[in-house]
Amino acid sequence: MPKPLTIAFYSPVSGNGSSLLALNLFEYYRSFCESENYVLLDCDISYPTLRYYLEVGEAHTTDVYAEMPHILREKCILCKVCEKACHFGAIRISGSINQVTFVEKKCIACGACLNTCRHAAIVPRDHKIGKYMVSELEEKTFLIDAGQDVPERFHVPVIQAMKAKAMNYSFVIIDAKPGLSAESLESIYDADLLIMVADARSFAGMHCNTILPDLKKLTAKQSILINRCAGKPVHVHEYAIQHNIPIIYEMPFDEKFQLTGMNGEIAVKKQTDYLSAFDTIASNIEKILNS
Amino acid sequence: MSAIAFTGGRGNEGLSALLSAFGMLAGTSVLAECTFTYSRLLRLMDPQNVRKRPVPSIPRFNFDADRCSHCFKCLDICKHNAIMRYGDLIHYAEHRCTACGSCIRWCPLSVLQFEYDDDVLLSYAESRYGPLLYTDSIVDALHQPAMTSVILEQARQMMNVRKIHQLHIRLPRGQGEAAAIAASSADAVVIVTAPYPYALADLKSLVLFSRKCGHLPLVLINKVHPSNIILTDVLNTYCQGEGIPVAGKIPYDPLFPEAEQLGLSVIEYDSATNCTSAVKEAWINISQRIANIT
Ligand code: SF4
Ligand code: SF4
Ligand code: SF4
Ligand code: SF4
Repeated sequence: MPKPLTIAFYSPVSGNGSSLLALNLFEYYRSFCESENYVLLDCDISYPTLRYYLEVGEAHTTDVYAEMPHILREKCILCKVCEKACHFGAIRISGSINQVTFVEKKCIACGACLNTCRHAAIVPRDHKIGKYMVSELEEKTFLIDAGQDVPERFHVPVIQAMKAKAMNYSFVIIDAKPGLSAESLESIYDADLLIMVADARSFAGMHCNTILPDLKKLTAKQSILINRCAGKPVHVHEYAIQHNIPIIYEMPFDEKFQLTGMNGEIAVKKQTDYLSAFDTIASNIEKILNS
Repeated sequence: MSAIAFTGGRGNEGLSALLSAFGMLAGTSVLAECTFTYSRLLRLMDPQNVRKRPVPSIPRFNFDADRCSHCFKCLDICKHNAIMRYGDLIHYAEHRCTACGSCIRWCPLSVLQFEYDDDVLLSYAESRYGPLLYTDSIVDALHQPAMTSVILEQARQMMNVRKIHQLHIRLPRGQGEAAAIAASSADAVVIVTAPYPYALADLKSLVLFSRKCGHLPLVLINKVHPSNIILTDVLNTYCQGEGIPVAGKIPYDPLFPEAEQLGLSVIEYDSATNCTSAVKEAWINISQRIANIT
């Protein structure tokens, strides 16, 4: 199966409005661009946003598993090697009760302990670490998101599983988890095009120089969409020139657009005023992808 | 001494702008900024006189691409998909690596090695509201609980040394272990919500979260506007039903982004408008509640 076209909306800081832009661009592509099917991937597991803007139909849930240690007490000689190997304090050997205890709540399923036991007292066992849902929105249009109950330490593997699922579709828009930590990087990893949403007002305060090398390693192509502009966003332009990343659009600060978002509406669906903005964005995206 | 933990949900609620205003109104306070992303609040706080100190972390994994002989022995070993093959090259996706060490045992050239990374730095700074603790290093979810504890411990020491009686904690985004550590250590939790379509769901889960951490929270409804009055009522009614005090309703006002652009709190920018008087009133309500608790 050919790899789908994947566009990831990303912001290094939360509250830049990237979810709303992702929803609008998705709606635009779904209405005007031909594809076999369309999928919207909400990688912000801590706070799934997109479903609140959409009419979400029946969901199909998939559980995600990972290997954790299971300790065979009868074989264990309490040598403590595994306790030392675990960086997360999930294996404890208590002298008083003379046995090894495994604390599932602390285990990140890294597998370090599985390598260490020389007495075959540790065997891998699958544990459920989270789940994700594929919901039908409209014909040929789907949403993939996860339950908020996935513990943060499993966000990277659960996002990996969600992305693997999305590879079965032909057009993918990802709403990444904002930030710079591993979970955010996983949401954008391997995307064909990264759209970094920069808030014109707060961009000056970010120490952007550290972000870029990662972004270029993580994604095939990059672009910047400036949001909520009032006046010329000088700092973002400087940054774009310095790092040679094209700016695909400058979205003006528009109270109406903000308020439609607050009211749970997708602007391009309700109001034709915004279509020309997304026309421009889509044609700039095409230029970058073909360059 | 009192510690107030503030949380905003997913990040559109305007918490940074409100926290900078509360910092201004509180007189001197210590701020522990525990969000592990770039923070709008930091820009508003304008940290000065920054000192940085490394914090011990768990090992990171180091891949020295120049020394790799491309034998690909490590490829299938990694269960976390952190090692991939692109043509004749090994690509190492650091963000997926859990430092389990399996690959080390297979690499004939010891190209793969553990190293203890002292990139994680804790910053101590001064702001116009008082001392400020934060990190601008990248801290992954796996390491956030430990880092949160370090920030809070240092913040409390700072309070003792400098004889400051109030601590404001900005909770990490989300409701994971790091957020729970910080919320449990505070005397009160303030949830800032705003009438977005997902607000009620977020608010419910944050109320549950703060109850688990031992607090009946206080709620602030931000960004109230004639066009979202129905949603605002829904939030208000929910709070009433649960017996949760609403400390204030703050109007949606372009004054907030204007002030933010200049790096100011809304109180410093224009202290005599509807929205600033709502902010002041909210702060009085929060302070009274804290005084009753402590
Ligand atoms: S899998 Fe990793 S985190 Fe879990 S117990 Fe083993 S070493 Fe510790
Ligand atoms: S390494 Fe094996 S034998 Fe040693 S304490 Fe752990 S489980 Fe027991
Ligand atoms: S240490 Fe473990 S997770 Fe990291 S690259 Fe090696 S095998 Fe993969
Ligand atoms: S085992 Fe070592 S030398 Fe071989 S491909 Fe992996 S990193 Fe390179």
